[in-house]
Amino acid sequence: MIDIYKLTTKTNKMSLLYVEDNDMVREDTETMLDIFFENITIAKNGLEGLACYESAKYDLIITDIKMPLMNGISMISKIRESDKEIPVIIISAYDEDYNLYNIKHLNVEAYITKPFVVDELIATIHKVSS
Amino acid sequence: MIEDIAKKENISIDKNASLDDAISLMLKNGEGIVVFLDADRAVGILTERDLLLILKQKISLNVRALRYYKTSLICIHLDRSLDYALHILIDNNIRRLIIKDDENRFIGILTQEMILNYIERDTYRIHLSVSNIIGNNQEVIYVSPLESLEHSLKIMREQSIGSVVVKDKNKLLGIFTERDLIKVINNKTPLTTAVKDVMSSPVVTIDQDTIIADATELMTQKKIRRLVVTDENLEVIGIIGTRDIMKNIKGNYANLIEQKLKIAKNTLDSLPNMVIELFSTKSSHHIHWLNNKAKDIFGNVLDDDICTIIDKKFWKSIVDDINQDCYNNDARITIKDASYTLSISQYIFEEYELIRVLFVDITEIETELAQAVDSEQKMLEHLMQQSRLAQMGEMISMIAHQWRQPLAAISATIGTLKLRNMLDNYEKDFFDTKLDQITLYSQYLSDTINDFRDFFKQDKILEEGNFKKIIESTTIIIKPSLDHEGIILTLDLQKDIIINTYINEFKQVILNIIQNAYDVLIEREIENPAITIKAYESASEIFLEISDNAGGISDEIIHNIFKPYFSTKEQEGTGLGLYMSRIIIEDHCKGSISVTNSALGAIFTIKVAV
Ligand SMILES: Nc1ncnc2c1ncn2[C@@H]1O[C@H](COP(=O)(O)OP(=O)(O)OP(=O)(O)O)[C@@H](O)[C@H]1O
Ligand SMILES: [Mg+2]
Repeated sequence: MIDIYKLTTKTNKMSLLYVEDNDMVREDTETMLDIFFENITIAKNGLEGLACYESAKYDLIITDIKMPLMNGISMISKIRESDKEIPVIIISAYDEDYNLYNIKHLNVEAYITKPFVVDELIATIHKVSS
Repeated sequence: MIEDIAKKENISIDKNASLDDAISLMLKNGEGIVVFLDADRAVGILTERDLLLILKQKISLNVRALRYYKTSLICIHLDRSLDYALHILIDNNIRRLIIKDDENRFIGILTQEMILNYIERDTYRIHLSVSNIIGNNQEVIYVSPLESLEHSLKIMREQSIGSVVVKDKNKLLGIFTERDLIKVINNKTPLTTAVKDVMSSPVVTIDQDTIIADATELMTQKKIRRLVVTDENLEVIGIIGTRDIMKNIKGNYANLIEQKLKIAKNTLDSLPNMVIELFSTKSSHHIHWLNNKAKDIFGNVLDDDICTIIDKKFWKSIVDDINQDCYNNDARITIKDASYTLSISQYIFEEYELIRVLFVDITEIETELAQAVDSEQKMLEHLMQQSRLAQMGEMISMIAHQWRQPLAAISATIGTLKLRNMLDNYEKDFFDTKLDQITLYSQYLSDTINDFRDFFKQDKILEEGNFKKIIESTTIIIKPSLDHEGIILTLDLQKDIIINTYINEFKQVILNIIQNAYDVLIEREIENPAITIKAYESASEIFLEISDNAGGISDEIIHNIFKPYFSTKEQEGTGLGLYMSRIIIEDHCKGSISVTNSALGAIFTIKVAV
């Protein structure tokens, strides 16, 4: 059993880059992520996400895949060119069947499908934070 | 006119009279016929020809005549011309007509003899002698004087002739005719009697060179209907009767007969089609002849106006066409569950005209046609169904897109509540707000389901709808899918266009076209993909333009895209989308659908009348 109190105290010190294009989903997910992270930077697509990444330092990236201008996969690939370490969690829809090999290659922490079960997210965040 | 020469005295008798009374009356009137009346209406006739049968069956004469008289009567109206009466007598091969008035009351009878007596001497073809007209007569049948009555009658019955000549070693003794038969019956003469005791004698003979008019006069004088014709050696060469003479009356009628012979009525009679001939006057068309088949179908309609069997208006329109010489033999009529087209020919004579109507039975052709149409209809329904199924498949993925974001939002909100719960952080207002939000999301999900379900309702009635609303409610369904692919949808819709159409079918067409644009935009990985929908109206038409920027449709295939099963999508497409769209727009909505290429891509244009 993960101690949620302990976890949130830990994650509260971390900074998060959250990339999601859909307003409705982003707002609701942000409300939830607020419980873990005090410091959240929001980007609305891959291009914005990349810009944010280049201008600040983050402990974790959570991103959607299908987004206008630049999708999540391209964004992560770009980031991975210089940064092999930063943990990335993908939260994306199940039916968008991307080349899973590509995703594996990107060395992401977890691929969580929308709609998600919170325990899966808790477990992943726990793994990342320790 | 007919009325003047028709005979009424001693002709009719009550319908319940006995055979005996009827035969006495027949003897008395000398016409060889009795008409049975029900009140003042003719209901049956008995003729001397019928007596042959009565005798054969040895029927007792005390019985009521009712069972033995013929009830199918050939009646004509007293206003008809003599010429017309003649027509009917000859064409139908009968000897007498029953004359009736407007109320169908019995007026009298008209026989061949009466007509012959009446007409002027110069009406006959003066130059014709008896020998000219006995050519195709029946052979004369002889019996010996000691032959029994019974046997003689048998011969008459079997040969279906009205008389036998009694001859003893080349010596003409007499003739036994139907007329004598009446006497025989009336006197209850035993059938074993020798024919010589009941025959008429001496035989009235004429030389074959006698002219017809004189022959007629002789018959009238002697009150007989037949003359035995002899040659210069007094050899019998035939028998001539009123019927033969009738056929040789001078004038139009004779010409007509010739014409008629040419066009062979016998043939018409054996046709499987109905044929009716009409005698036409300025105001009416009377049926003056009908072939066997027509009799079967219509019954006894002789002398009736054509409008008793064909609708008046319908007939009038045909006559109008005939008079303007533009009748195409294509008028259709249904009689007793069968369909016919009327083929009409017209014969014009000096004073009157004849119209022949041939009923061509097209029931079978029509049923076949109906079946073909029916199976085509079924095929179409099948295709429609197939295309709807395909569209439903596409809809499933649209629903997935529609639901993805709200479901993600719901799961995020639930996640939030769960985490708060784990942290014992219960803030009542916060929980309430979030739960309300979830309720709202589920409502949205439920609404989209309704949208989709409505979309597939079959609509078979025309409805009035706001065009803008129809388009918007269609795009709502596909919008999330377009958004998902980053396809920009632009609507440029003129307000307040009202359209009267099958709304759901129309929506399916719009969706089909958008779906096609969506498919090709993705397939060709177009940058900044866009679909534009424009709606506007002119004075008489409503236009809908759906365009994309996917690069258009190549010249090689653009002619095929509306054909069934044409698709460039291999497994993915049924190729029915545009085919069904065209059927819906052209056949159901009475509009048109077309496609052109612009510099950017395809433009589909739908036009429907306001
Ligand atoms: N906007 C467009 N641009 C280019 N090609 C098009 C466009 N719309 C239709 N087509 C072509 O027309 C073909 C026929 O379209 P249609 O909708 O009848 O069938 P389909 O889309 O292939 O199959 P289905 O509708 O069952 O998915 C398509 O396969 C495509 O090649
Ligand atoms: Mg299609």
